[in-house]
This record gives sequence, structure tokens and C-alpha cells, in this order.
Amino acid sequence: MKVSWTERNRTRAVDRLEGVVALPPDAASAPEAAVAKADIASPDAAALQSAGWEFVHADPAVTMNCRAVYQESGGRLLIDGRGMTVRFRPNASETQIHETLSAHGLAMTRKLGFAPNLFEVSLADPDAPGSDIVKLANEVGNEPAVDYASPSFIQAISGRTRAS
Amino acid sequence: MLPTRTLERGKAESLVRTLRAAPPVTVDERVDLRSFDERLPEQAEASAFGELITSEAMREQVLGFAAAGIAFVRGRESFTEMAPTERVAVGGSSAVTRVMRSEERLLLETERLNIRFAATSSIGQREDLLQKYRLLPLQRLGFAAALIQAVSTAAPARELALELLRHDIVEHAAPDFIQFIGQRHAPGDPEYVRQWHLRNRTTAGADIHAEAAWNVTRGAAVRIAVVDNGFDAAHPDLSLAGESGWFRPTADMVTADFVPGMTGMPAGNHGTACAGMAAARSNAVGGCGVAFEADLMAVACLPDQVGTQATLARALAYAANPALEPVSGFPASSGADVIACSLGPNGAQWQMEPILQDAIDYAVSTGRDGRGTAVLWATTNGNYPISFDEVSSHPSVIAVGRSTSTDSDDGSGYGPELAFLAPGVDVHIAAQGGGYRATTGTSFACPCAAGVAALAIAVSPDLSASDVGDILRATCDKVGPLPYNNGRNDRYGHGRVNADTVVQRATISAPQPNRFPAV
Repeated sequence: MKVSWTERNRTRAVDRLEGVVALPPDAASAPEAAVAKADIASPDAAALQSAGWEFVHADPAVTMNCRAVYQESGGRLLIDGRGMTVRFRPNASETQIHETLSAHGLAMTRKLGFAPNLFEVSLADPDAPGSDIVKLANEVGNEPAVDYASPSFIQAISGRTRAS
Repeated sequence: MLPTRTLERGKAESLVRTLRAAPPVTVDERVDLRSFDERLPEQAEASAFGELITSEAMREQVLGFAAAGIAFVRGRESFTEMAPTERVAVGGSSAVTRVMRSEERLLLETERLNIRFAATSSIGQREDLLQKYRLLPLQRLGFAAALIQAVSTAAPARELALELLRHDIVEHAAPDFIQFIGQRHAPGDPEYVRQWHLRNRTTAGADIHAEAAWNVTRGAAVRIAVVDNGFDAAHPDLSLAGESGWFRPTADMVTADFVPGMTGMPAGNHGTACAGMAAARSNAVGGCGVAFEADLMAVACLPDQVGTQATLARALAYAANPALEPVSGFPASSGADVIACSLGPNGAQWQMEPILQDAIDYAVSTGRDGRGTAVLWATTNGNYPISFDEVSSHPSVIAVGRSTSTDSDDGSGYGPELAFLAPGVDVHIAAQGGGYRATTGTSFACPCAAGVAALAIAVSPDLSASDVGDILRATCDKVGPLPYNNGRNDRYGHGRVNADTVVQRATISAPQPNRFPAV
């Protein structure tokens, strides 16, 4: 299913893989509804699996501790990072910032110093049924006090080396 | 055996002959010097850099003086007839009386002379002689008997030395010339002979011309940050700065915590190789890096090569300003001058999240107390347009592709965003585990160029991040079979980076604080 969000006046679109979820390394709970490991056609799959992530066929609505999986048009895999980066407009007050985050079920993880009013935020209740980081980013990004809201994706970022 | 007195006298006569030989010394009457931090007055016509560089030996000396903050200027009239105050008023120097050339040596004459009297001469005889020639004694030099340094208040030092040598009580008199006495450095590290990217012994010239650059600088007092996934912090050729650190993912994998220092830092061959390429020490072990006297800050951000762009962004911002991760305890002033990052997919596409863009913008505009930290990034290894990679094609990023030991491109990313190539094919560099290994990738071209950028900043610390990129681009060797249009083409960018020409251009184009010694 194609999903999209807008950040800094640019719309980004990815495919949300249906029926496939990612389980984090050392997942505390077993995937109750997992039926089988999923094979994903992407050069990134091996790197993510090597880091301990597992891709399984499962329903995210009933599977504990699982993450939605997205794929860019070029094949790159993105795993729901259960958070986003939000940059508020320079004139946004502290109260406005807290109220905006709270209204969308987000908790501030940290303020980042390299741009004004820039925050890493996470889902206050990551296991809440139906949580959708892309949908949420669209909602937060539409708030008047927000400059941009960008879903945080876990992804493979390897070194740019090549076999000699 | 000749008596010592006779021998010394013989040396003195030899000196007289040398000084009288025609013409042993050329005085450039209209060439003088000024410190870099003084504006060129209107009375002075132009820099005399170019005219003095008549040979490789002269080039080395002129650049050596320039690195010490001394520029040469051509005036409209003779400097040598002027009093010091007049000289200063027209852009000259009060400290140096004449600029001389003797064969391939630049000699800066001052008012000082070194005079050695005969041991048998009396104090009174010496004082009389000094008074006769209006010489003021400066200091007694204790490493030889009756040796003093004096200042001439009348005649030029060289002529005065000739006069003094006519007196029997003078064994030796010579102007105290200021000269550039450079160090020649060909690293003695055992693996150096295999590091073709530094000196190519097979295809002469198909390297970054490191040795010529090292005659001027090896990157001391400049800090290079390598942002990567892991490092061999115990590698004998890596001396990591205390500001190094790493990002540990939280248990829920939502974010990462910064951990200062090297304890627990993830290992990684890739980061080790990148760090070694940029700044491995020259220490008689292994090989060496491009800027082997530079500080090296290692920032590991994505263990297992998996994580978020938010963490990568924080790592870049930390490299530019360590105070942004308060747990580090380091001030902003300990940030890096140059950042090399060789992370990214090897496919065509990489979309940049706005937080990573914010971090890059911050580093290049705010780092180094506002001068900007240069950010160099490896292009994709794949044969794709760089424009598909939003990170290395970011306008503020210096995108580096890889070149071979025969100075050709090797099919890495191409397009108008490519800045230039640097050696990155079968380069022999540090590896995880303490050794050295031949390896290939744009990953290694990037820190190679970052090392060159560090050399530029070492000779001109006030260069902005943008200046650094401009100099690296403008001084490339135009290698390869493709024509260059307006100085570049899409396969080679501006060509292959050249450390020697970078250092020359950086030295001449940017002012430095005056470090000229007072007389």
C-alpha cells in the first residue's frame, strides 16, 4: 500500500509492505501471530537481518513488539522507528511544543541543538493498536506551529566499500 | 697541524671571498616582505610571490616563509634606501633590511650580525670596534668563546661583516640571515612503499603528490572527524582524540545514547580504514595517512550498519560541535575542522531526511566558530548519477569519487554534483586488527580528500568550509581521457585531488597571523 507524507514542501512516498512486519533484535516477546519468515526482495534485507532484525508474515495489529516495514521505489527498506523528528517554527513557545506533542501521543526524547526547536520524539504508547508513524507524521506536520515532522526509519546505512 | 687561530682566520678569509664573489648575492631592491595580517598598501604594487618562485627549491622556500606568515611584496621604489619606518609605511618590513637571493637560497637580511672575536683580544678592543661601527651588542652566545650577537645601527649587515673581517681581532663575522630551513619527510613506515595513493612508484604522478605537500605541512593542529560505524581504537596507527565517541542504540531501538570515549566503541574494518587513510600516524609502524599529524576524532554512530538518519545527523553535528551532546563534557571549540563520512547505500537512490540536512547545514555554517566545518562524503560506488543520492549531492557537501593507480575513474557515481576523484582503488590502508590491507571504495577516496583538506587548513586556518572546497576543486590534476569543460566533466569532476597544489593555493590565497620574529 502506497503511503506518503510531506516534509519541507516535499511529498515522499513509500510502499508499506502488507502482511510483513519486522521484529527487533532480541525481541522480548515472541511473535504470537507469526506464521513464517518473510523473504523480501531488497539489497538491504541481509544487512538488517545481520543486525538481528527478522521479517515475518504477521498482522501488526495483533503482534507484540513488531514494526511496520516500508520500501522506497528504489528498493531500500525502512523499518518503523517508532518516533519522528519534529522541527517547530522559530516562534513556537515551549507550551505550544509540549501541547502539540502531547495531543498526538508523542513524548519528547531529546532536544537537538543543531537547529532551533528541533526534537527527537517517540510514541508515548508504542504498542497502542493501529499506531501508524507515517499517518502521525502527516498529522503533526499539519500543525501550524510545526515546520516539519519526519518519520524516523531504521535503515541499513553501510560503508561505501567494494570488493577488490 | 695548523694552529687553531690560523685555521679560524682561514675560514674567515674564505667567508670574505664568498661574500665578495661576483655576484654571490642578488639584492631585490624592490622586493620586501610584509606580514600576512597587514593590508597591502597602495604604494606597493603587487605580491612578489610569483616572481620569486623560479624553481622547485625557491617554491619550497617561498611557501615555507608563507606558512610562517611572511609574504613578499614588490614596491614601486627601492626599499633598501629607506629607514625602517619608511619601509613600513610603504608596505615593507621593519625587521628585515633586504631580501637577498644567493643561488637557490632566499636570505632575509636583518640588522643583526654574529661576531666572534679572537680569544686573545681584550674587552676594551672589542668595545672599541663595536663603537667604531656603531654596533650595539645584543647578547653573548655561550656555545663558543667570545661570540656575540650585535645590531648594526648604521651600515647594512652584510657590508659591515666584510668590514669587520678586516680586523685581526675578529675571527668571524656574518649577517644573521633569516632563512627557511625545511624538513624533508618521506615516511619511514614499512607499509608506506605500498601506499601508491601517497607516492605512486609504478605510474609516476598518479597519486595525490603527498610528499611535496608534507614539506610544508602534515596537518598538525587540524582535527579530522571520521563518522562511521565502528573503529579499531587499538590500532597502532590510529591515535584517536579524547573527543571520540559512539552512539549506543537504546533497548527499544527508538533512539541512541551518546557514549564519550573509546570504551565499548564498536569495532569496524570500514571505519578503521577510513580513519587510517585520513590520518594514520607516521610512527615506523604500518603505513601512514594523508595528514598524519592531524588530530583524529572517531565517531561511531550505526553499529551493525543499521540505524536512523537522526543518529547519523547527531554524529555529524557532534563532530562539528561536541558540546551538542552534553554528556561529552567537551566544548564547541573542540569540534573538527573537516568531517569525512563514507556511509550510504551503494545503489542509486538515497533519500535524505530533513534532520540530516539540518545537521550538514549546521556543520558547514556553524562549525569552527563560524568558519564552517568542511563535510566530505563518498559518492555511491555504483555507476549511477549522484543526483539520485540526496546526501552526497547536497550542495554543501563535497562529493568524492574514486580513482585508480593509473589516474582513471573507476565507475563510481557521476554527474555535475561530483567534486573530484581521489585514490580509492586497491589502496593499502589500515585494517581492523592492527594491520594493513588493500581495499577499494569511494569510502576511502573520501577520507583521502579529507586529509588533503586538513593540509589546506593547516597552512591557512582561517579558510572557510566553502574556501576549502573551492581550493580542492580548483587545484585538481586534469586526469583521464575525457575533455574538461569549464574545468570539469561529469566522470572526473574537477579531476584528481592534488595535495601539493592544494597546499600551495591555500598558503598563498589566505592570510595567516603574523609570526614574523621581532628583531
